[in-house]
Amino acid sequence: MKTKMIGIFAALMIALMLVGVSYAMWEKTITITGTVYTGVVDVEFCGVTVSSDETKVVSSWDAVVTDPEHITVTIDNAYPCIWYKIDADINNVGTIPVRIQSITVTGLPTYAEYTLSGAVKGDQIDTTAMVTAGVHGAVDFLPFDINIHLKNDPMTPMDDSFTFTVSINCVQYNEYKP
Amino acid sequence: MNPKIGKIIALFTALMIALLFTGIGYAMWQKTLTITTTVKTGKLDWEIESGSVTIKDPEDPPTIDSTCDVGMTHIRLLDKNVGYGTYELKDTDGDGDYDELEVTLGNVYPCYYNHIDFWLHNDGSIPLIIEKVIIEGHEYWSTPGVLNLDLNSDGNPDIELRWGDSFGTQLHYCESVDISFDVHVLQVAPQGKTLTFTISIVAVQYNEYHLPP
Repeated sequence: MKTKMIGIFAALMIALMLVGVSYAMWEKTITITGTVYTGVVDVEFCGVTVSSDETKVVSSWDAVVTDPEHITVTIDNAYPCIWYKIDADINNVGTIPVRIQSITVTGLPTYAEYTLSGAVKGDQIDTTAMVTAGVHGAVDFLPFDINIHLKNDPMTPMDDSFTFTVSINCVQYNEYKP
Repeated sequence: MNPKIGKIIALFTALMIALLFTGIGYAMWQKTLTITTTVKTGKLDWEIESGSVTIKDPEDPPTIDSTCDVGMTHIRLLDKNVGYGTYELKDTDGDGDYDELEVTLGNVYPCYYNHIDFWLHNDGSIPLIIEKVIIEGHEYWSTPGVLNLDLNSDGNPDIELRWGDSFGTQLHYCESVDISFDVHVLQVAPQGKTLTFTISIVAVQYNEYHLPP
């Protein structure tokens, strides 16, 4: 009887062992490794020129892309009733299309006025890769111009200077808020 | 822990994490370009050139007087030195140049004639054009010819004045123009009085000059 019990226990252990081995054999792990390379939102100025509607050479100017994100313009010997035109290009050098979210002008005195054409809120600038790939309608640069005019205003001071700033905020195209 | 409180804490934590990610996303994915423009304005300025004023019959040196007929014709020398002209240049706005020419004709008498000549000089940085002259409050956009001026408001003209033609003359930086005028004292001018007249010369920046209407 005692031998019989030992035999049953041993058989049970062997059966359990066999079952355990069979579970280990019938599992499989599949691994997915994901790598995400994020794109880049990057725009820069790629050129600037200044001109005017003067009929004589009276004023002079200097325009420099001081760094890719900043243009510095100096107009010297300016006077009323002349339009000074700053032409510049924005180039999308990133990998994500962008849209202009806002254009702000600060520091312009009341005796001066400006117009801006070629770039408005919502304009999209695609990437060079999209243009190279021949995506229909894709453009990777946006030319625009800022026109400055000193009014015929008694408050317009002679022999003086003022500085104003135009900031163009570009956001990834799908984050644009109308 | 109360299960409700646990739920609220979990929800709040999830919300904070979502806001955190949203914030990072906005900061990362935009770029601002800036154009800084400095405008330096020029200066419209002109002056009466120092040393350019000449008077036909000055006080010093003593000079024989001149006369002319009515209408500024037949200008000729007399034979005595009685009247004279002097001048003073003034800087009324304190900008370092002369903007006023004060001419004084002393001890003059009917038929007395004098001629005053001076140069105007563009010492600003903008080209200008002589637009008009204002003589005793009246604007002239072209040569007015010989003017009769009643300086004491008695209804009779006291002097004749003839202004030289310089209307529309353009002066670039550092250029000058010669301007002159003649004065002829008329017969009805009062004795022992001081008569004054004012002439203003208006110049405008070259691109704002318009022909008179």
